[in-house]
Amino acid sequence: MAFRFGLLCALFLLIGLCRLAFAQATGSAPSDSDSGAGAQNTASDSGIMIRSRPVQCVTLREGQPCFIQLNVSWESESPVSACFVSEQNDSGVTGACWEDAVDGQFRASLYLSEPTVWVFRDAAGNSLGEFSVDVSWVYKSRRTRRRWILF
Amino acid sequence: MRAKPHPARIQPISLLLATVLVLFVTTNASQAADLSRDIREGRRDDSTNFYGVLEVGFQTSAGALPVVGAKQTHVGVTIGGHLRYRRLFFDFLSEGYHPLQFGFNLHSGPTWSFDLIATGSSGGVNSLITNESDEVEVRSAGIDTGLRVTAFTGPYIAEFEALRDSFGNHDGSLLTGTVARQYLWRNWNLHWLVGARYHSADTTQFLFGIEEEDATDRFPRYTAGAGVTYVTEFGATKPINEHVVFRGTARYWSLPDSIARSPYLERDTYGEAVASIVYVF
Repeated sequence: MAFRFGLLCALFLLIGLCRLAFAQATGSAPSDSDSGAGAQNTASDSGIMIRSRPVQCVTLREGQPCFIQLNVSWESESPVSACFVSEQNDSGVTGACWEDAVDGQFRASLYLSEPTVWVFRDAAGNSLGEFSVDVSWVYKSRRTRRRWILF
Repeated sequence: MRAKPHPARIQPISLLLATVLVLFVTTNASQAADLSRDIREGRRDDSTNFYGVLEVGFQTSAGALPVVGAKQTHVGVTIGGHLRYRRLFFDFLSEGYHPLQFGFNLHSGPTWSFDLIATGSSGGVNSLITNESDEVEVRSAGIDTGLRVTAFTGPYIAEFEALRDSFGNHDGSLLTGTVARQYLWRNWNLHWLVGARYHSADTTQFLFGIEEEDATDRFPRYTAGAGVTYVTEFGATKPINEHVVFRGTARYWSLPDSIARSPYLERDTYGEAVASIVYVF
């Protein structure tokens, strides 16, 4: 009886893991992220609605690069030409530029080392909207102290 | 079923350890943890005088224990954690080499860490893991004390331990050497570990030997000698969110003849798989 129960529990864990791994591979995680959850909708003054997920990425240890599969879509009332650019390092995301479009979407697999804000910027450098991904962790990392017991 | 007498006399090394702990408990902060925890979660933060995590979750394991009549699966609640106050630390990790540890850090640098540790020692073959309890003599779990040296270099961790029974069970020794490496794939923290453990004859005799007065037809007299056990482990740890962590471990043991020939055992190898989901406070 206990053996069957153990096998059943192991099976459930295995199924859960497989679902998790599959969701990672396809980017269709029900939790919307590799290790985070939730989606955010932001509407800007310029009439652009941006939907992004995940809003958070979680690593095991503080300081580890955090992997996310970013899903972003946007809609505008009028055609725009703009790109999503990371505010932290001013770099763009491949496939995240549009010309005279009223909507768009992109997906990207990224490693984040810190909370990151992406700005939807037009050719003149104006911000049309933005979204962000927070980075957090389970275990705090070590700060090194070189100390012997007597010193 | 008779309990083996185990006089709870205090060993000199225990007194030494206790003295050192009391004398230096108020010195500067540092940290340490079992290699099994370090390889998964990284070294603990020592920038503060106090650090602690508590972990509660569910765990299931399946293994081909080589013990006669042993249960092959376990399901239950798992409780673990790491607590440090200055140089003192307490570590409890069910997947660890030593699930229960209490220790004192002598030195903690970028590469090296030296700890005095006291660990719960195995009770060996007993009624907890075998259905043949009527014929198996109960061994009392005890306390091993000694020194642990750990080296951290990049993704590698190497650890050496020299422990001795300090509970008066058998006065045996245990020497372990372990090397582990960690990898990061996406947000999966993967690791492998290989290790060797030398058990003195006193230790193996206490755990797997059978004295003349305890011998039965099924479990005849056996004298166990010293031997080296080898272990290989693969593990995966993944954060589900900020508080929930999945841990998976597959472990394979190769036992020396001096242990494997014990009438209590059926094979000279042992494999197990453990999966757990824990909430980290």
